[in-house]
Amino acid sequence: MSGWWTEPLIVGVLLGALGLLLMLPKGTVPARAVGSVLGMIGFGCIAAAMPWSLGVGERVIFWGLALITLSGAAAAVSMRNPVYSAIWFAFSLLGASGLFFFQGAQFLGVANIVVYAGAIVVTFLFVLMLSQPEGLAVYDRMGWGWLPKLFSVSAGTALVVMLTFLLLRPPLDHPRWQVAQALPLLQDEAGERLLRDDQLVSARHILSGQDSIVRITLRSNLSPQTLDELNAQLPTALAQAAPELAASRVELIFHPSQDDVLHHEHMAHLGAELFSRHLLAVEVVGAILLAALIGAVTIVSHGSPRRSPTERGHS
Amino acid sequence: MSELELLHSYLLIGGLLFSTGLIGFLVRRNLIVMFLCTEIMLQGVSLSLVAWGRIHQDWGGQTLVVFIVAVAACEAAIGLALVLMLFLQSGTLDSVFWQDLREEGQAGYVDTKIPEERVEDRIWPKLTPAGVAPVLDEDQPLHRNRV
Repeated sequence: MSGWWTEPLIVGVLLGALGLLLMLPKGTVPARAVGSVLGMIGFGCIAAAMPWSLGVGERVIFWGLALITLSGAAAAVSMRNPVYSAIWFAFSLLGASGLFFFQGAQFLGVANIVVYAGAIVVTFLFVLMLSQPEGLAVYDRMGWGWLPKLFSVSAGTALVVMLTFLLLRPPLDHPRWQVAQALPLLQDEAGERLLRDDQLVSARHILSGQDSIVRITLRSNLSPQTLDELNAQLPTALAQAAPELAASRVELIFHPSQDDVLHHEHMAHLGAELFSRHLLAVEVVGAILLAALIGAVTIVSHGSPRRSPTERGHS
Repeated sequence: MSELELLHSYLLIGGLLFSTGLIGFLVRRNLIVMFLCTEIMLQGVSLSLVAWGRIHQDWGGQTLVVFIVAVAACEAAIGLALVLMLFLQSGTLDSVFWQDLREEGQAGYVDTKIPEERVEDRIWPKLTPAGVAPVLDEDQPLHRNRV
C-alpha cells in the first residue's frame, strides 16, 4: 500500500472533503467559493481517474449527472438557510433520478422524482414555512463549532476513503468477472470484438459430479457464424484470463430471462417480481403507510400544546 | 469490463452521497435539515443497491429501493409531524433545546460565542406590491416574534 496518497481517487475524495469543510456554515461567512472550487477539482480528479470503456458520450452524461447529484447534496448540507437546503436537495434528487435512468431503472427514476421531489421535498418546505423564524437563526449560522465539524468531516471522509481502497483492489475471482476479462481476447479476423460486456447476462461455474462447467448466459442471440467462432475461441481465452477455469467445459446459452434487469419490458418485469415474490412485503409496506398516515394525524391533532383538553372535547 | 467499471463508479458516487449526508447530519443543528440529511443518505444507499442489482442481474436491488422510497415517505410524514410538534412546544428548531434528554452526568452544550448577525443575513426577497393595500390591525403583530 505504499504511496496510496498519490492515488487520484483518494486525492479527489480528500480534496472534496476539504471543500465541503470550507463550505459548511460557521460563525462568520463560510468560504463557499473556495470550498466549491476545491470540491470541483476533487470531483474532476475522481471523474478522470475512474476507468471507463463505454464511450465518451456516456462518460460525459454519467459524470454530469453525478456532478448534479453530489453538488446538490453538498449545497443542501452547507446552505445556512434551510429553505435553500430543501431546494438544493430537490436538485440533487433530479441528478439521482438521472443516474437511475442511466442504470436502466426507469421506474425508480420516475418514482424518485414523483415521490421524493414531488411529495417529500414539498412536505419539508411546508414544515419549514410553518416554523421558519425571521432572518437566519443562530443555530443555522454557526452549527456546533469548529472541532465537532472537523471530527464529523474526518469521520465521513475516512468512511469513503476506506471504501475507495476496496475499489482499488483487483476484482474478486467471481466467474462473471473472469469471463468479462476474457472478452477482449475474443476477436474475429478483422479484429472486431465478438462479444460485448453488456451482452453478457451472467456466468456461473457449475460443478456436477466430475464435470466442471462454465455456463455463460447471453442477452441476445448471435449469428451461427459468431457462435461457432466463440465456441472455438472461448476455452483458450478463458484459460488465459482465469487459469483455474482451464479444465472446464464452456456452455453458451441464450436466455431472455425475466431476471434480466435490462429487459425492454422493464415495468412489466419489475411489477411481476414485486407482486409475486415480494407480495407479502408489498402488503406490509401498505400497512406501514396507513399506520404512518394515522400516526401523523394523531401526533398533530393530539400533541398540539395550544389546545387544552376541554377545547378538544368541544370540537 | 464496462459493467464492472459502471458498478465501481456507482458505488463511489453512492458512498460519497452517503457520507455527505452523514457529515450534514453530524454538523447541522436544525432539526429539519438533519432530517433532510438522512434522506440524502438514503439516496446514496439506493444508488448502490441499483448498481448491485444490475451486476447480479437480479431484481432484488430495485425492489428494495421501491420499499426504501415507501418507507422514506412514511418517515417524512411521521418525522415532520413530530418536528412540527417539537417546534410548537419549544419555539425553535434547534436540537440543542432538547439536550435535557441527554444521559445523566454528561456535560451540556453551551454556545461559546454567538456570531454577530450581519445585514446580509436579514435580506429577504421582496414582492412588488399589487392590488389593494389591506387595512392593518395595529394590535396584530406583523411577524412572529424572533425565536
